[in-house]
Amino acid sequence: MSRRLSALVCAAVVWSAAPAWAQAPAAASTPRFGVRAFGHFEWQTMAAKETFDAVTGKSTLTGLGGGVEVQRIWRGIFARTVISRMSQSGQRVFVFDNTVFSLGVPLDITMTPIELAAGWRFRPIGALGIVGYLGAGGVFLSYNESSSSVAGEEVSEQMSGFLLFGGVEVPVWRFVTAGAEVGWRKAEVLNPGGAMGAFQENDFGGVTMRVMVSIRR
Amino acid sequence: MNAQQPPAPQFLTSAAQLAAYTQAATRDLNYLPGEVIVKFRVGVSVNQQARALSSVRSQPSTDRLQWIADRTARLMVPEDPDSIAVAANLMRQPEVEYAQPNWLRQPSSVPNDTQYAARQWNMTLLDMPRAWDINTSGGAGVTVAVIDTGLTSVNATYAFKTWNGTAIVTAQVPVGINPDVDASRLAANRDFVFWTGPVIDFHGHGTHVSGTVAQSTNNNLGYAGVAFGAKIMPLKVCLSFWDIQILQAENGVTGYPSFNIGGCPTSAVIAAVRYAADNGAKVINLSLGGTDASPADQDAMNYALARGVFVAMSAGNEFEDGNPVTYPASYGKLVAGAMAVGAVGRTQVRSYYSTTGDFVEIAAPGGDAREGGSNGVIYQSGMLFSDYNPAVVILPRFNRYSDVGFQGTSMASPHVAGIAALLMSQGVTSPAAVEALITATAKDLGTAGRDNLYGAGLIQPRTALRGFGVLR
Repeated sequence: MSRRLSALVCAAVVWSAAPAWAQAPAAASTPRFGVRAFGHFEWQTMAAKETFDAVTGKSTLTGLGGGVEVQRIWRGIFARTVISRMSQSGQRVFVFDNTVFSLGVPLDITMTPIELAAGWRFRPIGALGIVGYLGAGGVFLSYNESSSSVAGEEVSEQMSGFLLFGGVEVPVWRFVTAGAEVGWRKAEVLNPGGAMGAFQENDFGGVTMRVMVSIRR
Repeated sequence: MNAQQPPAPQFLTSAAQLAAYTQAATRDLNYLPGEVIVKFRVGVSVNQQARALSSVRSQPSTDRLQWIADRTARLMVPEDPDSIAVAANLMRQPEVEYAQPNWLRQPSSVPNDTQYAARQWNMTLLDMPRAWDINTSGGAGVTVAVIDTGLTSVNATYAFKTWNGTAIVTAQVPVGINPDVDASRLAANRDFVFWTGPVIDFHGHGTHVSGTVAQSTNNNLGYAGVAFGAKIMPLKVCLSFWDIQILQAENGVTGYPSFNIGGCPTSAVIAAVRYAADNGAKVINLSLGGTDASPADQDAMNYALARGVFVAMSAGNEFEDGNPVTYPASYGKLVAGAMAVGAVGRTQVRSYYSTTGDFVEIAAPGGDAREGGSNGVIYQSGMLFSDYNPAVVILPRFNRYSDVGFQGTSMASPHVAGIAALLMSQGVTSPAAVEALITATAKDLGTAGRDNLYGAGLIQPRTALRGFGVLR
């Protein structure tokens, strides 16, 4: 994660954690419009599996991110924005007849999805106060690839798509909640070239898994 | 202990064979009279081979077969000089898979005046400096076989017999390695036509072609080569004026041969292709060709491809001479991993001589003196022509090098061979993949898409070497 993104996430967390008049989790009697911030660690199994296998040697990207969520807009409805940043190194390749030839030319890729989503948070259940939630939304994805030995020929592409997600969270200490989330997003690019074109793949989405720590105010 | 001298090199071309070259030059034949290449079918015994040979008028025995490869042999029948008729006879025999005259291929270049030129526009046109930014090793670890008139692989002075205009004399003939090709980058050289000694280029074509493939670069000397880190395997398959002159004199034949004598017999070419494939070459350059179909060439090419060897071939220089189909180049379109290369000049327009047709697969700089004058041809470090110009020199020397300009698809093909070597060194080890990558990254010229003038277009080394990222 870049320093800039880290600073952004930390600032959001600190800002949201500062007040002492926090609310109980998802209680119907609590005031409306709670705000919380969260940070997460994310795995994404790429839909373009063969492409990423070929270039980076793996089809899963990892990254860090964070976001801000407005809760109880109406009953259990919430809205959130999330930004993540995933990066991976690999090699430029040539794909011929489903055989991948690695060319020994280093390649760095960075993917930055920004999600705008809304969902429904269920009531807590059990003694632990486990809360489940579901949601959907749009994703705007910025993709960059660069290589030190082919300077000046960086690739930058923006695309948009949608996502579905669901997760559970549990309060762990005062204002702090820990959670896990599974999602699926789709962000297709038109007329891809490179390895994606060779494998006839075009989706920068995939299945995501996140572990999250939220701090609410 | 007695030190044992190595055996003196043996000349490989007999007096009878020399007579065939002379006849070919005199009668303007594109084959060696009295020589045929024959391939027998699987399982044909020696007795059956003899039966098939009995169909030939002179009734040669199987002793006349010089084996080149499994089931493929060169048949020597000087008593039957009409090789086309002999081959036709043999083709009708059930024991024979194919038979063909021993075609004489010619180096595919149009020689230009030898003179100095300060720049290699061809390397600039291909943006080679930025391609070398990607492949800094220049193709190290890859061996390119240049099957041609040779590239001199020894510094020595040989006592060769030659005709001085009045008598056969023994002349001291100095030969030397091109100082712009690091001797450590010369791989196992072999001569298939002149002698059993080290390869010597008595013509200059092979030296120029080898230079484009892999002349040393960044050495403050001469010119650059595309794959300057690759090894060159010089395989000599062509005889030219001085080869024949020396061979004639060594055989006691007086007089000068004609200037146009010589060529590259198919028997030597196919033997060299196999040798290259069996001895570690990963790329072969064939800057030679002719207008006659040759299944033996096709067999040899398939042999090399099956062993992971990429083949670059000149598409031919006969556009203004009827634009005939060129062989072996035209076999390239039938297989993945072998490419026929057409030529362009400085302005990326097809060179006036470059043969066109559905077999042209790619284009590369070959030079065009009509559009660029003497600066429009391809320059490399080559042998000083005035040292061995047969029109004026009686006792030649082959050890001094200068700036030499040639044009032709012969000059275009080694650019592609060099790029193939760079790609091989980067891990694209399949000849078919090399062809696909060169094709996919070519700059489209002429009509949109593939066309008969440029094939897929002009090679783009940097684009090919950088390959694919995720998205581009």
